[in-house]
Amino acid sequence: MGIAVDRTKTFGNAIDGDNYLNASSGIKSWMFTLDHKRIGVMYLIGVTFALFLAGIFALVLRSELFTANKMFLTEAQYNQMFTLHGAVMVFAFIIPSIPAALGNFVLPMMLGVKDVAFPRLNLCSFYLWVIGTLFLMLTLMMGGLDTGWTFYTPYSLKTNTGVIFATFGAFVLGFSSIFTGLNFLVTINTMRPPGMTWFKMPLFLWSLYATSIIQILATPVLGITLLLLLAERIMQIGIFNPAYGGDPVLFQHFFWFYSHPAVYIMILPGMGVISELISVHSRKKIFGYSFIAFSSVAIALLGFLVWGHHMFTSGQSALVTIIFSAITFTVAVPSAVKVFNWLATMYKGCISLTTPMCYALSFIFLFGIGGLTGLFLGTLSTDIHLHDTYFVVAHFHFVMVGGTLTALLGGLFHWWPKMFGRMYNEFVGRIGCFLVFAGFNLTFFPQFVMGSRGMPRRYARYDPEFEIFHQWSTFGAFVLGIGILISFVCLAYAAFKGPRCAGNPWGASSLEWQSSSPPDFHNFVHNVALCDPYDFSTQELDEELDTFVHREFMEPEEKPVPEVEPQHT
Amino acid sequence: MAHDDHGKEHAPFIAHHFDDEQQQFDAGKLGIWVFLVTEVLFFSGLFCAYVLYRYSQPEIFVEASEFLDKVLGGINTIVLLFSSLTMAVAVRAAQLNQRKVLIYNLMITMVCAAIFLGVKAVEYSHKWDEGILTRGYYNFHHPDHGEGLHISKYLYMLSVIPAILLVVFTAGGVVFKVTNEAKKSLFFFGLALMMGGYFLGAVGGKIYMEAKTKATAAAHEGDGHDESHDHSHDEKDGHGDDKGHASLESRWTPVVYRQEKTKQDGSKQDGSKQDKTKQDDSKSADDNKSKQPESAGKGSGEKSDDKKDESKKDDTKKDDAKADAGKESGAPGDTASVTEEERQRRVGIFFSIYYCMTGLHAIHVIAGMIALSWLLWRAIHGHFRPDYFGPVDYVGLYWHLVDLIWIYLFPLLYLIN
Repeated sequence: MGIAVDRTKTFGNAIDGDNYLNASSGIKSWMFTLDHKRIGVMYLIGVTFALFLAGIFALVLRSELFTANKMFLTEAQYNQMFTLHGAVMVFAFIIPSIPAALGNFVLPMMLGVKDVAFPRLNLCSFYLWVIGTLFLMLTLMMGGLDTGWTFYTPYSLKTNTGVIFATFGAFVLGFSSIFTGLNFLVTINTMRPPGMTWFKMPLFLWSLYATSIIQILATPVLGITLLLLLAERIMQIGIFNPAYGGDPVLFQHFFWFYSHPAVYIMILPGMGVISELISVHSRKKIFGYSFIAFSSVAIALLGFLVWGHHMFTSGQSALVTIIFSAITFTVAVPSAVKVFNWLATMYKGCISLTTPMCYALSFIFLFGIGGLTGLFLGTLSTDIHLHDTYFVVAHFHFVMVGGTLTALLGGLFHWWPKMFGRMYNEFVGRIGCFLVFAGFNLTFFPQFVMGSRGMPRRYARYDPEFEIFHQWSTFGAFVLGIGILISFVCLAYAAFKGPRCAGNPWGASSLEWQSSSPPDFHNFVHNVALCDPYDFSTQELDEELDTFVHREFMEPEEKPVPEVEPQHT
Repeated sequence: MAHDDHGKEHAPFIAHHFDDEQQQFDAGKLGIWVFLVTEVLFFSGLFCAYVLYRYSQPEIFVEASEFLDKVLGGINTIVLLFSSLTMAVAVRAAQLNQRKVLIYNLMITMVCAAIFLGVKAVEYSHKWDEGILTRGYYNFHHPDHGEGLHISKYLYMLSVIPAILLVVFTAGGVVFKVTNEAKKSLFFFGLALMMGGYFLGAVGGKIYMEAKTKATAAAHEGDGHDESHDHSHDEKDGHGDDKGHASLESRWTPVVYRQEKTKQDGSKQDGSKQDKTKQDDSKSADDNKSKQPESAGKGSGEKSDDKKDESKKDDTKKDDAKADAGKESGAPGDTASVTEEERQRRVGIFFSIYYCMTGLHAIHVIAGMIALSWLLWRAIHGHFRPDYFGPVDYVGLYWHLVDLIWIYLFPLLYLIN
């Protein structure tokens, strides 16, 4: 048994050999590339840019809130700042971050195939992202936007700021997201290699699949909602405008029918990343594989039935409100299933506190808090008190930043050696992780306290009694900002100057690691050997290459074995 | 899989990342179906709005739908259904390698799509002429045509781009004919034919509209028989322009309004009482209700009158609710006392939905025409063969969906009553 291959070429470091980065050169070779890896890298650069832009907005906001009175922003400027912070973060950063950037790079490799099903659509999706983001930027120059990222009517019909540009931008970004989801869904459905059944897929793929379902089923509704909002602005169609007998709450229903499932577009891929990180860096088979897999799908489906919990105070009937509240609680069950499975995976595992693992641990802590505080908001009586306070702000930041951003960073550190063939500096990585964790908690924990004491969100001025909390929060925001900056500098430095590493430094056994680092243009130089993605005993250390290699490839080379199909078990 | 797996010869039409044609076809098929799901969901928001507003104000939808011409809508339905047939034949032809059949059927499908748009342009321009616009801009007035052929300036505007394209495509066809590039020439003539379809639809629709207007006028002259005919206008028995105008007016006033108008003319008292009720903003809905039986009692007891009163009652209640909102944003129409004009404006909500639905559908038709043109180009160049006809199949599915959406829109919008 065993397959004779040139192990150095197949599993070694390919910086000087053939890889996707040097397969062709020139700006055009990137702009018109159909290679999922390059598109993933372009997405990564793009979303990082969006993250920093929106992060700067956040820091400006926090600085303004340092004192109870005016520092340097007028109320109108403050409104524009938080609106653009929200809109850019949600539409241009969080939604495409893990699926489009990491997912694009990793998904086809995890399946052992050369590319996603529709490479052109993939590139088109990236350019739609660029166009949509440019429109969001354009609103900055066209008088800003002050509706909040939710574009609630009727205010969004009255304000003189750039609703049309921003709405169009979000509309285009929605299509980018739909195309990515469609591509991934078709790829996973039709291109799994023979032998990789649904329950032999890595869990990241399950979560991307669930995400794709949401992107496909929810985003078109956002599309038509924004289109109707545009029509309302331009053509006065009167559907959402109470002045014409329209119903503004209808807009909220339409909007949250997308945007609540969109919350799961943001968090599900993060959960998938964490499932990979925990298992690999604990060197233990994932606990409760099928539970984690099904919980992803359960979250995706339940996510469609809870949108009404954003409108407990908007004038829904009491019965509907109760039903939405009850379903909201059920979403907690699959989420908790995942958390307990991750904890059980770590139990008696061989945990190495690498940077990805540090991020995974912070994720569990932060997501735990974020998820549990969601229950407070799903409870009708407490929600009346907490609605539109800083409690809500802290809750969704714990999920979106503490969850998704943490998972993204963890995933980046985990797959960085694969993407660029170079190792990051573990010490700097951990420092960054610590700063992110500490800064994050310092920023948002005081906001829970403020919110429960009645500090409303979206206010530029506030009562002096809240000043101390706001000041902690502002300090924390800067620490968080520095932590993120250090992490990205660490990664960027590693991509160019880090020590070289070979194909599989973590000893992970999902298929993307059976390639050289950085991978070949065609992803795999040799047939992959299918194996259980969480059975790490299949990987053996190749002393010569200083990397892990699947044991099938470890036999001596002199035995000329004919080409065989991948192992079908 | 790894590329040495692909030592076997890849047919040129199989993308490098697929194992074989079957996998490629399956991926494309699943992809287009998923895309169609997103399309359905995209329209679902509009259907949702339609259901909500029709449920809350059914009488307005019944009234408004009378503005729509069932015959033109019906013609468009038939045209689209026929194009679905030719599309299906085209798919079959691609599978059987009948290149000519494929090309001709694609062309017919494209022409049908263009005819659809041409008729649509006539319908739209006619409405714009009369100020039948969306809710905020709704300003219905009787078109002030003189005698003779009247072509709306909007129809000219809508036809500018098709006209330019027609010229360009024809010129392209001729140029390539001269340079003996038969395939390109055929392609461009196909496109020109498609644009010709637009003008066929537009001219046909226009002729029908003219004939209809004349027929209505004639019917009035001969003391009408039409079921929607309104006898109240027959008092205007003058001749010449005056009569023409009257007949147009009755033609373009939906039946319920006409009844109201009759009523108001007939019993001014009743109308003024209604107005009083509306003028008093502080009057509660209960007050209105108590007045209603009176006014209903005063009515002649005919069915139509009851119906009218009901709709009035609804409107009155809504006015009270909306008065503040209306004032705040300076909405057109004085809400303190709702005029006949303002009541008509309510019809605008129907046309808001009408324009959104049919407009979005028309955009899909245009997208379909572009996709079909791409197919035509590839078909002419002989890209399709029995083991590679995926794109024809996918565009076909898309085209059937576009057709299907219209099959839903037609009864929902045109055939309410």
